[in-house]
Amino acid sequence: MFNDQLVIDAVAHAYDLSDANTESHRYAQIMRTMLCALHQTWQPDIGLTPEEQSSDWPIEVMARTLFLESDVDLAVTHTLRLNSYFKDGLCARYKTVEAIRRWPQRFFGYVGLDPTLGLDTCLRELDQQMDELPEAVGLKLYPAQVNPLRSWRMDDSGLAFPLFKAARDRGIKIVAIHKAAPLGPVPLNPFKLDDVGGAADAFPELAFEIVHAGWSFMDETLLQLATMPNIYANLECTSAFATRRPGQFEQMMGSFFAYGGPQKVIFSSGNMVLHSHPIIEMFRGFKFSDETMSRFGIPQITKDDLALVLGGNFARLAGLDTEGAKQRIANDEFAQERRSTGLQAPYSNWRRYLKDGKIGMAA
Amino acid sequence: MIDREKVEAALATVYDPCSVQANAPLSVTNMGLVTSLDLAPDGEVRITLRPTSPWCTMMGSIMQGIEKQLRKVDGVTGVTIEIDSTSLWSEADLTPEGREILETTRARSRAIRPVRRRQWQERAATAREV
Repeated sequence: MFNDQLVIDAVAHAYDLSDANTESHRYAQIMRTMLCALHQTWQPDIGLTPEEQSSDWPIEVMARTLFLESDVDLAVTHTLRLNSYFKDGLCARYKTVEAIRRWPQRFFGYVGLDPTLGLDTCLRELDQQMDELPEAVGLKLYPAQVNPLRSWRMDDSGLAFPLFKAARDRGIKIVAIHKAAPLGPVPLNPFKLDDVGGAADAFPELAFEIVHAGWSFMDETLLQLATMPNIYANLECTSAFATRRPGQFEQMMGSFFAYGGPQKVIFSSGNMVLHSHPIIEMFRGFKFSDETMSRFGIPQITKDDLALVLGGNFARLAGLDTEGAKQRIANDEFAQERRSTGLQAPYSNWRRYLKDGKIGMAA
Repeated sequence: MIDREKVEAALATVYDPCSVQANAPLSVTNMGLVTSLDLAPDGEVRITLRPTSPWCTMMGSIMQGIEKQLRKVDGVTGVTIEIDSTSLWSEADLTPEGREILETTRARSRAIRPVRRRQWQERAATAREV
């Protein structure tokens, strides 16, 4: 909890970075190397080795990492469709289903689609996934794939719009699009943001999350946040700047608050690749410096602003009954264990599962 | 002996791909990506590069570009490039020339399409009225 408000980590992923799941081509190998480097170099005191990371991460470990090793109350997990890099897409559909089935009081689920496969395939898979997981509140998308290089646009009225319409009609409230962080040495255009506004304009009843907002193309991101009521900055991985480059993170937050406002920023860590706890701890004491307030012409951040960022905004978009949610988690298995053990050490559960041989490491 | 000025001039022809995409083309020099440059008497050039982020997946192509350009310089017999993973890049590392290019581009873009802060609130209010 923060300020008596729920802390919601709006992106959590249980990757499969095992050798067996990683395609042999250079794009996939580079992606895995970069993810492992991000984990290790940006968390030098707590991260695991690349060999330890190059495994299939169980959803149970992700849940324990989130709810026993940090003050995250609820989390959002996505089915990922990076199938041109990882055979199961990186976070398999069954993991999202497992999270929702085992801990419905703790998780939101996003279905995942690959629009480069065409509209018919997407519509069919959307129905399949929504039939399986009618509780899903979001749709996760990537703008490009490799082998061969191919991409699509969010403002494509022949592909994206029928897909968004179908998703909305099936109850999806939020569309999350990976942007700003190119997936390997690939063409950069698909990772720019000029196509998001057209989608947001055509579907005002949907919320659009720019995932990794601020990682690059900051000016373009601010344009989208400033102009469209239903575009939001999702801080997945960007939030790691809070611990590694706090000055730079403050500048990002100053920009987001100036152009979008506190209602437009959504906390997420990307757990397990980055741990939620150090980031949340930084947020607890986060203040704008006089220089930042002067530079951006913004007032000091308030506890209410922070509560919006750390969970209030996502709860609003997802239509969550926050008081009901607090009651549902007050005495669940994580709350009981947490009361018994206190806050557990970062990645202690992951390390224990590895040590006990419950996770197979890469050779 | 290698001419340092020629090496630096060659480096200034290698561009950061993301800045090109953002319509503010900046060389690796103006970006502040080169953290060390050593020239050995035998013609070997050793360079240390810092990525703009640990996620930077363009480092391979940037390194290829540097090697290709430096090998064109008279006297260069080899190029060794190392990634400096300890030094984190920020906008503060831009050279004055790089900063000017970026600021000019930003000003031009904002003049073409002026953006008012939080103007989404006006749009949302209008939508409610409708």
